[in-house]
Amino acid sequence: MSSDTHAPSVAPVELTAAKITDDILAPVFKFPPFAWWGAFLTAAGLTGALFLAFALHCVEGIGIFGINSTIGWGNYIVTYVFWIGIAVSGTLVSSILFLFRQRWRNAINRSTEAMTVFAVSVAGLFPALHTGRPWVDYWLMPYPNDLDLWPQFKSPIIWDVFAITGYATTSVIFFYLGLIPDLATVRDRAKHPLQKMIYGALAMGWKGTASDWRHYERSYAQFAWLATPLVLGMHSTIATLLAVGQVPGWHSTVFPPYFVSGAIFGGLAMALALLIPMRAAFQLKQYITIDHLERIAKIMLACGLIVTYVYITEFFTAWYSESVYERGQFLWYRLSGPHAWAWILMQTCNTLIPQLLWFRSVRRSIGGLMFVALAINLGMWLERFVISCLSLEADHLPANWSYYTFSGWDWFILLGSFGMFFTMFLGFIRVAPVISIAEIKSVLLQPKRIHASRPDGTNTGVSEVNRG
Amino acid sequence: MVDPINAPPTTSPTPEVPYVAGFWKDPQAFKIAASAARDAGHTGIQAYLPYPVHGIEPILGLERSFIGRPVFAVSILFFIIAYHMQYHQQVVNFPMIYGGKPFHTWQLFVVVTLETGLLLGALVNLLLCFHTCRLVPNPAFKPMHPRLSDDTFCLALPITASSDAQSLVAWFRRLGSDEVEVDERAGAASARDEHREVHHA
Repeated sequence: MSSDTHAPSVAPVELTAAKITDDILAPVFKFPPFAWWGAFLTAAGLTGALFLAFALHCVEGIGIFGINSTIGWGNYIVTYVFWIGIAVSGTLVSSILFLFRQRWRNAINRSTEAMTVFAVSVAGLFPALHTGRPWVDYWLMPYPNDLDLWPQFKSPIIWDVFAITGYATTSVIFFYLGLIPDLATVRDRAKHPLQKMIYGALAMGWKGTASDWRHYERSYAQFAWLATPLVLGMHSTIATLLAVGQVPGWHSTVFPPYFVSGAIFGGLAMALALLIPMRAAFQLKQYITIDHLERIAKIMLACGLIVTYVYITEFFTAWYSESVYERGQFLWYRLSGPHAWAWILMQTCNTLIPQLLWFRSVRRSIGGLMFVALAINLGMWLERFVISCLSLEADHLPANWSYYTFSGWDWFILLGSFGMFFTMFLGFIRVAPVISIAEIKSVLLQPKRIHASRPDGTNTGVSEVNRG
Repeated sequence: MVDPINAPPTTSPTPEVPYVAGFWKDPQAFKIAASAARDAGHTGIQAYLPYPVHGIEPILGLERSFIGRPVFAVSILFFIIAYHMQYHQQVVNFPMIYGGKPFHTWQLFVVVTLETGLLLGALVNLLLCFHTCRLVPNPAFKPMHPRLSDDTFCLALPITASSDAQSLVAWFRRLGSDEVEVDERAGAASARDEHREVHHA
């Protein structure tokens, strides 16, 4: 386990704007190493498996998966909520921390925004396919039609359609808007005419005038204001999707805050799992420092405590309710049922292991952080499995009780979703700056507040000078 | 001398007239030059920045961007439209008892209302940003200076009857600019090389 406990958080190298650009754009202009190709092709292969399973699903129907008449929400919904949770934390970093003026976010917001966009892209496929007939999914939208049919706006399923559509669209345009000045930097650095042309088109003719920056920064802040309620609304809607049902196990706590805190918890764990290898592979330790990782770990610890509190609340409420089925779900089925292993592993990963983050030595240890992050990722997938499948397995009608197992195609779906996510992420880190160049410069090269004067000694009215 | 508080905005989005441009690597020197240009009463100042520099807007007489208000208005408008759409469907066009709830149950209309208004607000925000920054796909874009998006700040002043190219070049040099460039449209195509000088302070 490598430890950076006593290492300086920033390497003692003088930073200039040109050096920052060189460092961050290095992966874009260098031919990828073999390790990247290996990872990319593996991920692309898994993506192929995912779409093979989707194709078979469209031909054969939803029966190729492990779901049955009792457990109608299986892997599709579990994996869907998992990826949506990953997406939520990206918005936390890009929007909520922005609104709280947390400038340390500038080192990690680009990668977490990319994570958001790719996670939403993966997640969005699952409910669309779970309808069973994805080719008529457009029926979910309120469009004019001959039969004057409307979607049922009182149904949480329709809320989910609006929530996902709104969130996915806003995330993509927020991500792209943030990229524009950096794409202009790539455009101006590119040597190959084709690169110049492509990045020129993507940069939309960005000139960087003072007036442009004024409107751009205002627009960016506006997006942060819009994205924050969108993301909180979206994951709360998914929680409500469950909570309005009658299944035991979905009422014993307040689901929306439970889901939102769990999503941030799991999403930041995924962010750590991505940032740690990325900063090492691209020599970005000077920008994504151990201090950044420690701050993420602290937020994870706080969210982990909320999640732990919710787990305890669920058991207390189930016991206090004196409802036979709620008590049966929590005090018997989850603790000693056939899927008790999932619940025990979930508690280990989400409740016990994150307590290691109380120790500064763990928070500043790369190996320790990676271990905790991977454990939380596993735990958060299992949490959705426990909520969805275990609750459905033992509902109010004992004659209906059943047991959920993965079919072979479920494994294609689960592993393929990771493949699709990593294909997009690995592709992204080779074609676009993984750190927001303009934002990191404005933080690292920000002038100090001291008095300044012109060469002739007269006051400029400007009270700052450059740190460098 | 121009009053910096009450001065009108003195920048324009593109250099539409012949200009002389000074370039700086140091943001502080750039801010000092911008301040000096404002104090000297220059109008039509163009400033190019590779990254945002705190405090440059008041120096250039730029006011707060107007983008927030229309986005807010559009969001409110689509809150109303989305709510009305649901009300019309649930109460007027297709009244149906669902889960034993009244036809008009405002609590159940909140999510679609919120999401629709915010989404449309976001789209309008993007369009306004594109419009105000004049962003259109431009594969053949040629920057004024190759490092303007990297580490170089630029101040461009229009050539006028009272400020000819020679005096502006001298003025920029006095302010310690790293490079000075005269616009080719000023009838001095060859002057580009002649006047370009690099000062290593």
